[in-house]
Amino acid sequence: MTQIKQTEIAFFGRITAGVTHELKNVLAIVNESSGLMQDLMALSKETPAYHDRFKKALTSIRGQVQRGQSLIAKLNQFAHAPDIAVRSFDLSEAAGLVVALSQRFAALKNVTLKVVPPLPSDQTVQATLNLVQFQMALFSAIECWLSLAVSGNELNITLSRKEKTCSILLACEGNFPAGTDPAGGLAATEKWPLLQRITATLEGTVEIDRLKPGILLILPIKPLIGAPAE
Amino acid sequence: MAKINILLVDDEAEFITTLAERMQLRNLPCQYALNGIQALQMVAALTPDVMVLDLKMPGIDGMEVLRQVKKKYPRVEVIILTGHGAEKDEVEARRLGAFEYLKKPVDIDELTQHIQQAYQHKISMGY
Repeated sequence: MTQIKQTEIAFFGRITAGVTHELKNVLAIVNESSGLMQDLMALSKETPAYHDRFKKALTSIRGQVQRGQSLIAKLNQFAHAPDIAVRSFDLSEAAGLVVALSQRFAALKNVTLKVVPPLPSDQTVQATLNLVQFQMALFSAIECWLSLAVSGNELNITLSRKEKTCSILLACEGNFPAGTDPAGGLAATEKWPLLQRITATLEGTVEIDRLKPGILLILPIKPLIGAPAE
Repeated sequence: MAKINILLVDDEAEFITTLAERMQLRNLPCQYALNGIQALQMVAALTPDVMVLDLKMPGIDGMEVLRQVKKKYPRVEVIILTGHGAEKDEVEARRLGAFEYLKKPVDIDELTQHIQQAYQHKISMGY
């Protein structure tokens, strides 16, 4: 990635991170204001008209505050990705974040998207890579599948470690329209060339597993920054 | 319940006044400051038991307020309540003596519980 491109991405991330902090304050005010309304309703000796409706609306507001809080936390984490160009990070955690932020795109196609099974905390896969490029590679692979998947499909992402590489398999399960070849169609999707390019930049490979069918990303696991080489 | 002298510090006026009102409804009356300078003046005048402090404020930010308060008034227990959830800030705040580090938005019952704990800690230290 060129220096100017890196600077542009860092700029974008910094502005986004700043806005997420402001949004947290907005949510905090909504949270306290709705909380105050709940407090006052609880203290009221008389049952006001539409009491149950108000209570339901306030419960909904508080639920949405929690939803917003969770989304903003993820967006903030994502916005901080370009802070350091190449860093050591937990691949499972990073994949989980991309999957969480991609849920909206999957939901629009009624496709279930998840990491399976989540790696136990004692089996984390640490890698030293450009985090933004890793996120782009995984998101591009998800986009390739989403352009082919149909309603009801399940896109399952599995991470596994093999010596000095990490394999990320994106397998799509469920029925496809009769006569279609999903594995064959992947390489013809719009995002496939981009996925190949980013994977190459990460010094990894991408291939199509015709049996699953799936996209298999193989990325190098380099030594941790500051840690002795294995 | 012992009367706890509480100071809330945040530059978001709408947030802090609403929070103060809710605390009052729970028999926890609070004073509040809207910036770092005002906070330091109020700490000097009131010597609160517990201060709930935001980090990102114009002028003197919360971290500097924390530093000065713990240096001059170590008996004041400080709870950080911020929308800025960076890990390095939490580490720094705890190193400077913050009793707890909470992220916005926070559940009021959780906040009052931490305030009670901070007060109990202060009492247990013989302050």
